Amino acid sequence: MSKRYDSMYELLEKVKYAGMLLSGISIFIMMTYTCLDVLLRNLFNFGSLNTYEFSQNYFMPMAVFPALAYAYGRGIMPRIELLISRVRNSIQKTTAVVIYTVECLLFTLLAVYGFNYFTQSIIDSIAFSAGGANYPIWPVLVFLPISFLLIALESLFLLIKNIKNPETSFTVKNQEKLKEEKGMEAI
Amino acid sequence: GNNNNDEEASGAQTNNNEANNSEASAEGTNNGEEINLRLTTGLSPSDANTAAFTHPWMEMVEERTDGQVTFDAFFSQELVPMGEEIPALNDGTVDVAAPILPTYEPARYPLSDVVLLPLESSDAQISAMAFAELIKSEEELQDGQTFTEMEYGTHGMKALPVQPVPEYTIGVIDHEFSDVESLQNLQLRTSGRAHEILVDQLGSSSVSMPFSEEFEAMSRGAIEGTVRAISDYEPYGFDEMITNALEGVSLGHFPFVWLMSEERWNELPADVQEVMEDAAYELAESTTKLEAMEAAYENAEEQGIEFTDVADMEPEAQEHIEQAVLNTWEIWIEAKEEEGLPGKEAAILWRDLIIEQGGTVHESIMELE
Amino acid sequence: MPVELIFLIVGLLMISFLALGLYIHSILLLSGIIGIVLLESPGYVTGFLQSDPFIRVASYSLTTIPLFVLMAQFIVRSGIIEDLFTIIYNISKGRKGILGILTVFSGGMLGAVSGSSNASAAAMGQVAVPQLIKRGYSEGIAGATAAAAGSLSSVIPPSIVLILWGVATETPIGQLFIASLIPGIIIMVVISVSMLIFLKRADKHVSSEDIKPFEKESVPVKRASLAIILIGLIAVSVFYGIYAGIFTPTEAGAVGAMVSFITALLLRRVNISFIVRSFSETVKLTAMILLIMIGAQIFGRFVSLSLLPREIINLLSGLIEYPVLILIILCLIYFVLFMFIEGAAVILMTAPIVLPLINTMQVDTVWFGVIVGILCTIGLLTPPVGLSIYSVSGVTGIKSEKIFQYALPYSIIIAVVVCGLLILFPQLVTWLPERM
Ligand code: NA
Ligand code: NA
Repeated sequence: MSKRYDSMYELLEKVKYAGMLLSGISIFIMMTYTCLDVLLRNLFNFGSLNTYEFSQNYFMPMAVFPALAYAYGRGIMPRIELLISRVRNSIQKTTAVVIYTVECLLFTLLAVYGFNYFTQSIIDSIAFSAGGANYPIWPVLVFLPISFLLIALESLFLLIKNIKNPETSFTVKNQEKLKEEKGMEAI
Repeated sequence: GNNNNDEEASGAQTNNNEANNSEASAEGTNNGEEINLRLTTGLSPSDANTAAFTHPWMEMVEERTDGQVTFDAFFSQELVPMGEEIPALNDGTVDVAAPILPTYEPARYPLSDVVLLPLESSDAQISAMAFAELIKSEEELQDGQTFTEMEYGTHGMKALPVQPVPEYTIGVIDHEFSDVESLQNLQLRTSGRAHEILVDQLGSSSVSMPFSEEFEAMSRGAIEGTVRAISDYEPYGFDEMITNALEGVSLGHFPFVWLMSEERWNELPADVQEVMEDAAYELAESTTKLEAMEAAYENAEEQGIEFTDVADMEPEAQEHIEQAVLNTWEIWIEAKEEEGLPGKEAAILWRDLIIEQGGTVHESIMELE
Repeated sequence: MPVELIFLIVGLLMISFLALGLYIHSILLLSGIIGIVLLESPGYVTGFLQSDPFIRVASYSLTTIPLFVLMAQFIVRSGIIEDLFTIIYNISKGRKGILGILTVFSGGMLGAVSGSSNASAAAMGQVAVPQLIKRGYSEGIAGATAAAAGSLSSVIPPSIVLILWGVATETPIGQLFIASLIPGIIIMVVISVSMLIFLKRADKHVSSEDIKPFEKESVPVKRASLAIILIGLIAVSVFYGIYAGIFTPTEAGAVGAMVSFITALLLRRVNISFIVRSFSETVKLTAMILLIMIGAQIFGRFVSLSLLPREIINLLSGLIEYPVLILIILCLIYFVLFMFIEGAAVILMTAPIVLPLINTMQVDTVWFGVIVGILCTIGLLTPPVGLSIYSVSGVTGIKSEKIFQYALPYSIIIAVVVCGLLILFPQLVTWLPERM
């Protein structure tokens, strides 16, 4: 693939990696916060820290959306390859092109709707309430369109790769390279 | 499918009406075309409130329009998640939401939890009649707007009353109510701001959790009790766990409301609108929930749940409760006023409607002006 | 267009998408969107596509997924599981069936603290599968056994599925929990026996030279006892916490993860790489399950909107004189629905329609709820939407088809044997609650 393609993909990789870390940290915070709630409740008969509301409206969306494109890019999303893997390579490649066109369109659609949902939530000042205070939802909703847009981008890269390269691919970096790069996760 | 045609048909009908009556009123004559409406509720089809309102209301409307109006009802958030009713009504995903749970969304319906404020005595009927009066009340609370205009009209919604849940009380496991201390240091599940304040003012702590957690939390003792109506015990399986409950006080009612977008409402023929409104207001007088409450008390007694009348508690405990109730009203009002809402006006209106319908409030609440 | 025709079109589309190898999430999304557009109009999908992705994810009960996976990550990365399996391997003198049975029973134990099958399957996949493979299991059997073991969480109390059924049908949840205990144990036995058969059949194809002779693997005694103590400590703290009412099963995920993290800290295994890799694996799996759930939600909306399940079940009331036949057809309908749609959605969608039928036939709602719970569990193991399989596949890297190859037989055996037994001997369900 061209240098430009590679360098642009590296940029996307960095964004996705940051998203993964953000989601991981959110899960860790959710864990700590829940444990703190349990501890305070049992030791000091302290009223609830509203873990239910915060987990549901802040921690869970933050655990999922920022990392969505990272997960997607690692080729983890399941598909049934049983039939398609038995046909001619040229057909397989055409299928891959179809698949990533569909993915790209679907996730662009979801990104657009996600963006509408985000703006609507600001206009309607949608909030959840916990302990008598209202908390806006838009700060986590920002990640909704962004995550879908990143997936649309990822599938666009895959689409280009499948059109330009002779072999069929389902990840931008090949699997062996991904495995090698597991070390990179420890940067 | 059929639904599609119906919608197009009623849409076309509206346009005609609007063309004919250029006046504001879009209420047209009934040309007899079939009207199929999608109805949503987050409640389950076997929920007491569904039995008391949604099912009979749909039946009444279908019968009284001789089958011109029919419903496809979706329960348990099957089509529309709770909290998404207004967008769903606006974009036409559904036509009617019956009912919604306004206190779950205080940001959208900030005054609706006035109904949760604690009272001295009331029952399902009293609260239902008072709530019906509140929904149709002409009293202007702020900037010339009534309660219904402020709460639902601002979202472009037509609202009708639904019977609230019968009176709430505190139910606990292996714990007896006697003195002030017996009301303190409990972990109680609550489901609304007014109850959070009340539990806090009693000196206990409130925990919020979804119902699916509540059962497990209670059965293992992660919480010691819950603030609910006795009629909720059996459906949720709490009657097998709760051992003691308070009576002789009514810790408010959980309100429900019927919504339709004003736009869609105005498309309906005037006689259909009338049938719908009449049915809802008639159901405010239904005794279904009163009977359910009687059955619930019987079941509770069979299960060995012990009721402690507040009047039989130590005098200090009674004062403590009254003080907590008063504080709850005051804190609630203050919080709403801080948000720029007519908290006091709404609270006084609700108090007066409850009294009009035969309920009572503690003396100190009567002194609120 | 008649609903039946729309279903035919959408069904054919789904099959072709599956054959083409489209992603599962996209098949569900696309079929759902096409179905809704055909039923209604293009504009009608707006509401669903705007709010469903967020609403689906913003769920408290789903917090168990990332938290249990994180717990499993911390446990696996601290190395104690490896030691534990080695000890069992040595004790069982290399009879690998015992390790599989250990996996199934660990799944049952995990089920007693976890209410969510997806979370448990992912945890079992991470913890047990690499060990089973190392001891000579094929990838398919190892993955399917772990997934089946994890799925027990929906049957063995506490169970989110049973709670939902209880509330949707006003069946006492406590009774449902007690009633599902015996069926849960039967399922564990059925899984274990089927696994032994699968193992035997798989070994037939392997020439005797390829079978590794048993060699005692050495684990230093000090490390071995530490492993047993630490695993015991984690299990006891979670069990004790739930049963003593210190925390709820949902909170148990967080506490379990925290205790495991502290264990890893004490073992001096925690460094930047430990944390980043744990995060990476956890978020990958969580994101994968949730993205499929979002697709399943949209597809479920289409099924709801079509009113077809209602019509089919209403048709069934014509067979009211043959209750056993109705029950078998209902089981089949549930089996198919759970194949394609996420469990909770199916229950909420069908309970209102099935309940009157069940009541007319005077069938015990506790008994039927347990059957539905079991079928829901099975649905997690069947293609195309087998979330437990994708969880295991996601954490182990084993291709999902390989796992389905054994998971499908598992699910059919459980469906036929267990549901058959419960239909023939309802006392297996009703006996315990009647005694409480
Ligand atoms: Na369980
Ligand atoms: Na399935």
